[in-house]
Amino acid sequence: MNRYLMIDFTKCTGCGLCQMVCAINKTRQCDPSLARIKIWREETRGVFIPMTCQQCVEPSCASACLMNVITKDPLTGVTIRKLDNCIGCRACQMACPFEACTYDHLLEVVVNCDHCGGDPECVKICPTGALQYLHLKESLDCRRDAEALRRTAFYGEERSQG
Amino acid sequence: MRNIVIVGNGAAGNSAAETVRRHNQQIPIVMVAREELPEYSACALPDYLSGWVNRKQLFIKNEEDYIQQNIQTLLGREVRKIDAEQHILVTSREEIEYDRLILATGSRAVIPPVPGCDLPGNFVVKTVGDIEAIMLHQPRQVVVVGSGNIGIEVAEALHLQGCQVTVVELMDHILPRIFDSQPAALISKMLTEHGIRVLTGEKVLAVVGDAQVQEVTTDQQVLKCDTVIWAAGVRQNVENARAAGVKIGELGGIQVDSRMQTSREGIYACGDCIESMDMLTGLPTLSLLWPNAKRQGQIAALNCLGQQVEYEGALSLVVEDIFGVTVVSMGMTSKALGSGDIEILKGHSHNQYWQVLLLNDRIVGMQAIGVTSGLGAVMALMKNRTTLSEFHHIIADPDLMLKATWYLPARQFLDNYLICRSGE
Repeated sequence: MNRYLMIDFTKCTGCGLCQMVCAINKTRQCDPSLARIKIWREETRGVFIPMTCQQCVEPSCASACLMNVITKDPLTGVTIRKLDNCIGCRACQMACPFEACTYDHLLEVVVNCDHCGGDPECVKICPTGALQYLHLKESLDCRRDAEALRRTAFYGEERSQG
Repeated sequence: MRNIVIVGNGAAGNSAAETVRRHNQQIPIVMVAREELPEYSACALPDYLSGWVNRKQLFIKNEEDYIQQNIQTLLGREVRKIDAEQHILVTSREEIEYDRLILATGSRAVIPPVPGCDLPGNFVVKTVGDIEAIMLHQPRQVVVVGSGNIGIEVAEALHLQGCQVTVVELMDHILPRIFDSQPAALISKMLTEHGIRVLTGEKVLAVVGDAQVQEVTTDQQVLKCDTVIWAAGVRQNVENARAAGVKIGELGGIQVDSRMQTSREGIYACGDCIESMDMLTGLPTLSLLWPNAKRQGQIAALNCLGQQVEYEGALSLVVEDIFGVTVVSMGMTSKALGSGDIEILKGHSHNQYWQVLLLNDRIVGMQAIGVTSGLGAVMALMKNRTTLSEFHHIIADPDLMLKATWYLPARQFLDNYLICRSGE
């Protein structure tokens, strides 16, 4: 797999633009429920978690699929679907722990994020940089830097208190 | 290794063949099967009957796919004998030497031996041929015997085709293997509201008719009909295996270990024909579900190739569409769990119902009507055997929660029920 859709929950404000642009781009409908990306909201604690297909290496949706329509693209590593054969039974939706399968009620099939073929619209519109589309190395760097920053901030705080 | 011979062209057999091919490009694979058709989805057969999918959509592979994957197919063959000593498989047309044999012979629908069960107008639902025979018969008044998921799906499909349908179930509620009585009653109500007659606790005694089916006699009444569809269970195709000295389990399936190896060296088995282990209880079970068959096929293939991979166990996941309402059952039912210390958490709103079964604080079953979000996460909790107290501990801690973000959908589902329970 060469590129990842990185999600930084801490930066998400829950504005929902990613959902809107995804729905419009994929289905021409202004209906966030059709978006391939979803934001799980917990307003009481101010936590917003954008969830989309994690492009698992061994996807549980693929093993649950009754029609064997879900496969991994050998080149990009993206989880792809042959939608012609999808009967919309939703078994994949129930098997995905990330709630990343979306039931497209217009086409009556279940779909997932396909990274817009390598140029995700949600990343382009995200105003806070919570969504990023990175190469593997960049994404690892990104995670390492974020973790380093978090730890230094944490220990710095402890030291100043102690 | 010289070759791998696979008997059966269903979910397990094809999954095994594809797994072998993914890991090894050279080794010859021979696939022997009874039906002269490429792989199709048995799960979509009721959808084919209802007209929701066409014949072409039913097929998962076509002939070229087998050639492309370099799988030699010998279709339209009956297996006559397995010689486990000499490693020879005898079919109706040839003898094949095998190095490793994978049995994925599946199961067949059974018709109980009642009088009149051989009259024209009696059908089962197991293959494309069965469905086409039903279509050709042009049913008008149908009695479906048995209300497992196939029975219910077929009843709905024929109802959509304009038939007058009656479902007869021997047990006291419909979908007895996958639902508890309360949700089953709600599903039954949904079916009744749409015009399907549901009779529970009734036993079919005979099928009556002169040249073809005209009536079904139960222990309580006489039902007029022109078609009887038997969805009253399946039996494992184990005859050849048994004759070869492969050990058969108590439930009637081929006994395998966690590596899908049978009691005879060099013979593996997977899919409907085996008795596998239940993921939650560890007890032997007949899983009979498509996803389990695919996984077992993978395990059998990997172990054939010499890798040591163990099966994590079968888990039931059934998703049904009952007149546009999604109905889901995962894991065990309270009946299957017996009378142990099960705690049932349940809730409902005007058109939704959900219940979660807990055993020792762990989720072991879930049944839902009309709910679709959050269930995948609940299933993951069930698979990971997470206790609810651990779950709540992680959810309550903001840092831990961001590490396990997928807990949030599960929490929203589980909390929903809590709101309802306190409101009851």
